[in-house]
Amino acid sequence: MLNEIKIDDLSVAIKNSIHTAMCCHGPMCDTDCAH
Amino acid sequence: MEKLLKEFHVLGTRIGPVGFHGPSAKFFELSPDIAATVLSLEKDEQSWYALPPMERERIALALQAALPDEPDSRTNLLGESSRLTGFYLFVSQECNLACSYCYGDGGEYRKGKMIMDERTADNFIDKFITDRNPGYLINFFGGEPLLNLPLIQKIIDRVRAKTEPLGIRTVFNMTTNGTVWSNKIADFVGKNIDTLTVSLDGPRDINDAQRPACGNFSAYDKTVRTIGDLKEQGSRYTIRTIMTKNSFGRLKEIYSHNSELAGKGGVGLSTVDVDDDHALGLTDREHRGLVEEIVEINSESLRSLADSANPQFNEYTSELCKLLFGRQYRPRPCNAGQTVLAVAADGELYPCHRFVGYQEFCVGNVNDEQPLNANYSELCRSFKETSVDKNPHCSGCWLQHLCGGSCYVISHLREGDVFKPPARYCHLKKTVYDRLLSEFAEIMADPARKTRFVDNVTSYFN
Repeated sequence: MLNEIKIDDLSVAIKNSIHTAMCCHGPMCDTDCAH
Repeated sequence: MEKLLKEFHVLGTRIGPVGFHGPSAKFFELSPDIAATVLSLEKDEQSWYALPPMERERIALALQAALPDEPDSRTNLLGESSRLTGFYLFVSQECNLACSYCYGDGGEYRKGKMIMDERTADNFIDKFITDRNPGYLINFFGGEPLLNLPLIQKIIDRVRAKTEPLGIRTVFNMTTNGTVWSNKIADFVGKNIDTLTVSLDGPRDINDAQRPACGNFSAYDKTVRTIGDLKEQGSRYTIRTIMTKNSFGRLKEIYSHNSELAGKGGVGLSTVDVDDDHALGLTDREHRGLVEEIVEINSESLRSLADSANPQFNEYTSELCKLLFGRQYRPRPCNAGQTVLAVAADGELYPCHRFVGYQEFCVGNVNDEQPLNANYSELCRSFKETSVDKNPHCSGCWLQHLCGGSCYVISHLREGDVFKPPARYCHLKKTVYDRLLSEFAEIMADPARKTRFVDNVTSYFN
């Protein structure tokens, strides 16, 4: 059996966060599109 | 069996080889023999078949046994909605700068100078801002949108008058070069614009060399003054920085310069997207050099989350935390055409801001009785159905669920196929994530660093 390195579940905090990607258009495209 | 192995990527870490399993986003410490086998398969499929069948079975069973029977419930980072709620409004297709790398053809988008008129803006509001959605996001775009401030003011007033009585919230953003500015504009922005994206490519010599003004002024001086006003009045803003040939070897200096100006909003970095023969285009060697610098900047940011009480988030560390701690995956590059449309100054509709002016991707016009053409639903369906796991260019990649694939427009321009990522894009993403995931695994395996990291991430996202 392989040993898993566990990660905490912070999905509730992140889902409710106002922070969006540090991207030109935040929640619109939510990606690092090149502008 | 081979499919399962290809879902793993071996990370070289200070705690030994770690397997990252893409679909579940789980990390496993690997024994050296299993790591060597997975690694060899990543490099050369034939090496897997060279192993004795019993050995192949032993390794596959060990990996299979580590994974949960039922996949974790991971949510789509882009959401499942296909309601149009995000709009880029090209209120001005002209600009007072002449950035030589501009993908928007100096703001004109291959159509000549024009500004949006009231009729077009009203038709947009009538047809797309309805009572059927709980909220909207409008991004004023250009060209330089502040060259058409009177229309922006009218649009905001009319959208608010239509939506606020219904309890519908509209977020107004703006992408600007920050050089059209006055006390009156600062006041208007402070009261009406939720988030700004301000373009600045670093110190004066770099910025003004590639972002020259149409007129006798320094874009750098004006933009920095505007940023000072935004900071002073507490506006939310992000700085967008394009990396070109001029940035090669100076990225840390550029990043540090812009981060100081950006504050909490952070700095977004993008490599320039121009033809190979463009004066600011990157050679392969320069691109690889910039990628190494990007890796260093992000790695430093990741380590600051584990080791510092004053951490610095940036683009990839923020994205990585959302994906891993937030139990999310990215099925496509973005929501272009799904929840997002761009409205050009003449009312033409496109899947996003980057498509504007490419007539083959025009999906309608707000000034027509039926604003969306038949090709809109075809294009929308094609984007939605070609998620990374269905895209033959991405489905064999270990990073697909974190990456989501390349920008449709850049893929179209560089590869002639909206779904085919350019090799440089894949190199950037794989190099950055290989390093960040390795360091992330090391941090998660160290209780003290993990606790500080989780505390920092929790307070950032709260």
